This record gives sequence, structure tokens and C-alpha cells, in this order.
Amino acid sequence: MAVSPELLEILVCPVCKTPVKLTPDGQGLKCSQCRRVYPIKDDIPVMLVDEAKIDAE
Amino acid sequence: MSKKHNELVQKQFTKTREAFSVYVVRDTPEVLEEKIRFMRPERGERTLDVACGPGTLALAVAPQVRFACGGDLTFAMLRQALEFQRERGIANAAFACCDADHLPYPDGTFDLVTCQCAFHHMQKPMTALIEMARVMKPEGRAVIIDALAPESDAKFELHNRIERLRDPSHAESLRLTTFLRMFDESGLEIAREALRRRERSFNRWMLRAGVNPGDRRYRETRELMEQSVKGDAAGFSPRVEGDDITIAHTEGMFLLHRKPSSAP
Repeated sequence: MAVSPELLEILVCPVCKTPVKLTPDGQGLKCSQCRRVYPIKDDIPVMLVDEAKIDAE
Repeated sequence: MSKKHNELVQKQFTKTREAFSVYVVRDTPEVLEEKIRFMRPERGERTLDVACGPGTLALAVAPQVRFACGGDLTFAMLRQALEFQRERGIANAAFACCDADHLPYPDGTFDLVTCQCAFHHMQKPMTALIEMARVMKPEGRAVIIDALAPESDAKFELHNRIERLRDPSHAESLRLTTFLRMFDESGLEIAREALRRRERSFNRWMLRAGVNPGDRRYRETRELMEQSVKGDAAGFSPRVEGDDITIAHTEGMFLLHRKPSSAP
């Protein structure tokens, strides 16, 4: 069971509230504003600031 | 919530995931049904259950709405929720790990935002309530359900001391008057409310927190609970019955709308 498309449509970055987009490898959700990447573990998006990594680009 | 308190909550609920979700369910099917009736979910709605635990409420609401979301701070709870969702073949529900203080949703996303039995785990319940109101549609509604603490200072202190001894991730059960002030300050007003007395077995209540009768924490909590029998000093109305104690929580259920003056 992949992450629900409707959930992906509404999820935003919990910090800056900008929509997040699936990363090319499908393993994370990236905020285009602050570049935080939130991991997807076992098909569950982990939208916790402490779990996010800031992407260099 | 502070990082330290978040870790305490995650540790407690990771440890108790099985007891909490499988063996000692909090609500009987009748109580769960009563709560859902109180929320009045409708066919076309999108809903969010904040601090959803193993997804009990979100999955029960899903068949009555268009799309049901659940969010929780503890990842292990959400894995359990997803497992239940797969077992039951529910397609219109989804879960995300999140902090109630920083919900990962835009303003005005949900028709119905619920949170049951979780405010007492929050260090900043007002922040969570403001977040719930933020993600609720202007004409949407929020439902808060939680155990209420006694109003008297002495009973309030002992009540919360017992709760914290049982479960270190318990922050503070709030008084009815505190909830009313918080609703008002967050721009919400009560459309409907109900108070329910929920009687339960002390031993099962302890088990749900992952505490067994042989544990030191069990003995200490039980000792305090027994001491509170005289004069109902902690507001649990305890009755010792053989090896067990029957206790009661007063549960408040509040259906909230945005105050007309707060609508954007």
C-alpha cells in the first residue's frame, strides 16, 4: 500500500506550511521553501521536524 | 511540545502499543459508536483525528465520510493503524506521523477535526487547539473528548499525581473551566457538549499503560488510589472490590464551531 494520493495532495511542511513533493526516489517528501525532506517509512510520511534532513539544493 | 516530553510520549506509547490497541481497548464498541454519533460525520467530508493512536476512531469514521486522516506523534502506533486498515480493507483513510503543535496541513483543510483522550498528554494544549482550529474549514467543526480533572485544587493535584505515577507521559488532565477558557481564547464556541461518567477497572487501566500488578509502579499507584478513597480525595470515586478497584473518569465531549467573529 503506497502513500495515499489524497494525503500527498494535502500534506504541507509543518514548519513553513508549503506543499511538499515526493522526492525522485519516492522515499521522502521535500519542502520547496525550506528544503527539508521528511522521510516516508513503511508507507507512513513522518512529518516531524526532528526527523527531517535539510537538502543541500 | 518540548523534545524531551515528545520523547517521553513516544517511549510510553511505543511500549504500550500492543496493550493499548489490542488487549485493553479503552472504549467498548457502544462508547465508540456514541462518540461517532456525537461528531455527526457526513458522507462528503474530509476528517482528521489528531493523536489518533492505533487509528481506532479514524478507521471507524472512514466508512461514513469521504476521506479520514489520522496523525500521531508515535510511529509505532501508526504502523498498528495501517495494519488495522489493511486487515479491514479500508481504502479512504491515511495516516501521517506528526506533532499536534505543528500539523502538516494547510489552513481550512478539514470539515471535522477530532482529538480524543490526548489533551492530557500535551504540554501546550492551547497550541494544539489553535492548530486544530487552523486546519478546520471556516464552517467546519472540531470535537474534543478528554477526561476532566476535578475543579478543587487539592483534588486536582492528587488526581494528576496518580495519573502521572501510572503514566509518566501524562502531562495534566484539565478542568472543565480550563477547557472552556481555551475554547473561548482560540476563537471556538461550543455547539454541543456532553459529560459522561466512564467507570473502569483499575487493574485494566494500569495494564493499558503497560503496568502489571507485580510492578513497583502498580503498587505505588494503587497505594495512592486507595488512600484517596476517604473523601474521594482525587476525584476518581474509587470503590475497592476484591483485588480490583472500580474507578471513574468524567469525560467531557465538546463539539465546537468557529465563533462568528473569528470566521475569516
